[in-house]
Amino acid sequence: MAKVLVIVPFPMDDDNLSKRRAPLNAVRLGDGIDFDFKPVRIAPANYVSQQDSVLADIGILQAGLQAQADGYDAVCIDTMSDSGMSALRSVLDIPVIGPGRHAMLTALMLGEKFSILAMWDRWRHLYTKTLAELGLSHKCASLRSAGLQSNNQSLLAGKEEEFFPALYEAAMKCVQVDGADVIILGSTTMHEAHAYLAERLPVPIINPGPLTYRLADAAIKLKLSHGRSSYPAPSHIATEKLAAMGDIAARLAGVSR
Amino acid sequence: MTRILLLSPADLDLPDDVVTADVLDADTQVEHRRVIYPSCPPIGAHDWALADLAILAAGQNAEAEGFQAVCLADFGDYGAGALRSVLAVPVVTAGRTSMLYSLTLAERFSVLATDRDLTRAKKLVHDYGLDGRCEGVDLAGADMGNEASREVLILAGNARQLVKQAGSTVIDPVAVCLKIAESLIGLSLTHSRHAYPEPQVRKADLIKALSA
Repeated sequence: MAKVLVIVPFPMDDDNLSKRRAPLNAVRLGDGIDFDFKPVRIAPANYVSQQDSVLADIGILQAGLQAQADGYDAVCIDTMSDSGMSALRSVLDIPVIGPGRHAMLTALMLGEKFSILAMWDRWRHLYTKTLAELGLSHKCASLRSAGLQSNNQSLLAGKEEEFFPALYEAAMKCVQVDGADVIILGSTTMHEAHAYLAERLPVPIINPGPLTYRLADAAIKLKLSHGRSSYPAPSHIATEKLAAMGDIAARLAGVSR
Repeated sequence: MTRILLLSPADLDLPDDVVTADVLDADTQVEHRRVIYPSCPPIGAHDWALADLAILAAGQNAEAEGFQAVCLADFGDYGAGALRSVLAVPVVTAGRTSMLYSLTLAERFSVLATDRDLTRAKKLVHDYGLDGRCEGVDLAGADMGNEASREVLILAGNARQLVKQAGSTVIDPVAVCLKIAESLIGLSLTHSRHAYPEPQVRKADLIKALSA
């Protein structure tokens, strides 16, 4: 049985963690693969600034550092920012799947141009970073948001009537105004809107979380992982330091509650 | 049961078990059909036009035959756009898919091809807007020094028979193509109708007759 670690980018209780597992039901997975979901200990409040990006990188690196030693065959990162992906790739030999990079490349398997549909304008920097890294800005028809702020714990629950139509309206502008052939949901937290949008939109819409589950399976079965020249190993892995950082963050979070 | 139609060029003579059984899901069934190109090897635009037609003819009824995806094993992606315009099921191609997939693994990729595919591979790298990410499209078999040191190496067409060992991550485009097709089926995704609009009038009989 192949085992995949899904790193959830915020600390959360079991009830909210179960919402992050829900996208597993949105994809038909092959046999012999199992997914464990693990929240980080170090995290920003949200992903809207460079400060947040640094904390997210550290938190996800810390959460995934031991994945290979713990017997996992792949790691999926549950945020479109791909935070920590490069850092984890530099220390792990198993595949590390970031939804941002993988969703954009998959979109280009389905059409010539894609748009990223975000909840909130303040997530824009997450996408421009990956677009720049891939050198694929010319393939991005647009980055559009619905002007909504999500809750990274309760997700879209209770707000469907307000949020889903607003997302549909923004997605249609991506298609009709911007010329998108494919839409990518701008956050793994938007998975609850995927079925609603997929039923109504005239173009494919990629649900990035489930995509990573399937591509983890593909990488494992194809025995393919990232290149070491693109992700060189560090001279020393700060295992103890990162573990201590995790303890500190957990303690501070406890104090602030 | 997931049924995938794999169309491969007859001149490459790919084996029926083109990927090992453990790569695909247990309930995935691949039907492999070999397509004879009217002008072979496909080294120039004349040959490519005829290969487009041959692949279109071979795959145009795939959906009616109950296949949930079509995979095109030729790195040249012949007939891909045409098949996508007439089919709603995913049409996944070895060239485009393997190049994009390679960028999930590294910042750059290289393609190793034989005379058969060299010119076409260079054209596709450019057409797909990937020039900046491609370290090179090189001829297999001659001096393998530089190619073997590259990070991700995609083996186009029968180059895979010539490369015994390489220091790189080696990508078999056919295996990637099949695995991505299976993934798209599992995610209920297919190509965009906006990028591949349907023809106003289907010409299935004409296409079949031209390719008979």
